[in-house]
Amino acid sequence: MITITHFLVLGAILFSLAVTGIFMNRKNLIVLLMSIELMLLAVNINFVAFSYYLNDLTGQVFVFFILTVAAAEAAIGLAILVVVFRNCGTINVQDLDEMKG
Amino acid sequence: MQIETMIIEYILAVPEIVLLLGACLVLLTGPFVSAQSHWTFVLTQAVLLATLYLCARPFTGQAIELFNDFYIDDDLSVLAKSSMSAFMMVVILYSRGFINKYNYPRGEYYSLALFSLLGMMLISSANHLLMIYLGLELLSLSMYALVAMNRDDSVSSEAAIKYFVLGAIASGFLLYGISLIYGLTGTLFLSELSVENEIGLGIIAAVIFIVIGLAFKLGAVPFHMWLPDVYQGAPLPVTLLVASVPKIAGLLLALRLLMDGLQFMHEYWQQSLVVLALLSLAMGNIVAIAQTNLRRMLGYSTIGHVGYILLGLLVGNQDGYSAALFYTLIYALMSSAVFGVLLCAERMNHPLENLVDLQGLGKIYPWLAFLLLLLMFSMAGIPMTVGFYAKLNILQALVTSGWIELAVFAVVASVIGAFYYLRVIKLMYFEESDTQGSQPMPAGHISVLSIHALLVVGLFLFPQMLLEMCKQVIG
Repeated sequence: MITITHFLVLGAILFSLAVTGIFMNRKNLIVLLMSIELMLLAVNINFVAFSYYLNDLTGQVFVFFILTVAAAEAAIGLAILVVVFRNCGTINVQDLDEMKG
Repeated sequence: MQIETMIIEYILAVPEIVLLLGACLVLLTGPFVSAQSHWTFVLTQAVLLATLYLCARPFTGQAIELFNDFYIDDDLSVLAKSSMSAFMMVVILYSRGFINKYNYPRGEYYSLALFSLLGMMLISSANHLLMIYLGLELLSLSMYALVAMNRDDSVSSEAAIKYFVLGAIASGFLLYGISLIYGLTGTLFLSELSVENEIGLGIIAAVIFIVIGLAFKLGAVPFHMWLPDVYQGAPLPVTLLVASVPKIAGLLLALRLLMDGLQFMHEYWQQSLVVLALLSLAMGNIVAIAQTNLRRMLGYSTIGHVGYILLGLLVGNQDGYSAALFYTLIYALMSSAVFGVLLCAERMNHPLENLVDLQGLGKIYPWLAFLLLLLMFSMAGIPMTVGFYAKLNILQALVTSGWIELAVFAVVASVIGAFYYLRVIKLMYFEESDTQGSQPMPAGHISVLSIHALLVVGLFLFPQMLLEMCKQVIG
């Protein structure tokens, strides 16, 4: 029997994977964008699970909004990534250190 | 009856509707007018003026919930919306010269600024966590695009990617907190959040996630990494925008979440805010001393000010909230004026990028230097300027609720902070420079800027009205 705890643990694991991905990753900006998406999807699992067990549709509607906003966010993120690559010639996280202090 | 309530709901939402239509109109006008045309600017200011006119109304003390209770129209939202539209008008006015000088695609700057204002207005009126999320994303997405607007500058794009990544993480944390709150309370309406049983680990975790998301957005230490970079890297008009209006929206976000929604968890979020406030005050004021870039220094000074705002919030009663609101309004006033000075100097081909550029400004452009002097006094919190009252209010709220150690710490931090504000004044008046000021001042810009900057003295002499307003809107 799959209970709500299973879903929540899955959500928490995915979320912590995403956070680790963001803070451990020192190589590639695209991996960073993927981690951000994973973070939002972990939240979606939480919402759908709660929505099902609470018998309340609000959570599932919220998921639709998150998916839509995530698409817009990815579009802007990739656009900025293209600009960064054109100007700096690299998408290596470590090389983005022109500003310090 | 049904139709009547519907009409009333739409009438109360007219400012937002006008703003949305206006932003779309500006976006469409941009490509069809010539590069030197003033139409986009005039249209933007007209839209903002209409929005300001439509949202400003006398305080009634009532809160009306509309659109199935998703949206709330109360005195706090009225004050926030009108002040944000007014600040946005000033910001657009200061930015115009820079945008024309460097031939930025102006339709984009103006329409993105209007869309971000729409997002901030949604936050101010939110009564549902979905509204909070959507407003926040509308604000943040416009800001990411604005910071990256200078497409040929590597520093600017680096700032944009850092801002984007950290902003997205913040949204992720906030959403995770919201999802836990939804599961544990069964509702997303801010006014209905509560727990039946005793407070468990789950809801505490949810509150911590929400506070982390909030701290990222406000720029509190240790979640401040994006802030100095954005201040330094973004084009100057965008820095002006980031530094002024969104601070009010950030405070409203905190008030809606913590005051309207999670007041029953006060003792839990209070502890996290204490840590954030202490770190922000210390880090912001000490690291600012080491900076050589003026805009980066102002970025760290912002972090210090955020620490003060958090001190007001953590008190958690009417005094604290209204002191935080007063402080934020004053801070937005000062910060937009400081960047107005920077933009004015830039228009006269005397860019103030690094601290050394300030040398001898008192001789070259005496009036501009005098305005900057007033603003620096106000930021440091020296009497005869309104920054003093802003800090005094926060300290009063802290002391009356027994946080004397925190108040002492805050005073020490602002004494340290006074050093780098006064250094700016020393550079302007006591150092020589062989540069000559030849350019005439742009008349419209400098006259608005003078009134704007002299307000910090004016509000010191007559602070009562604004103070009363801030007390009144926090019910």
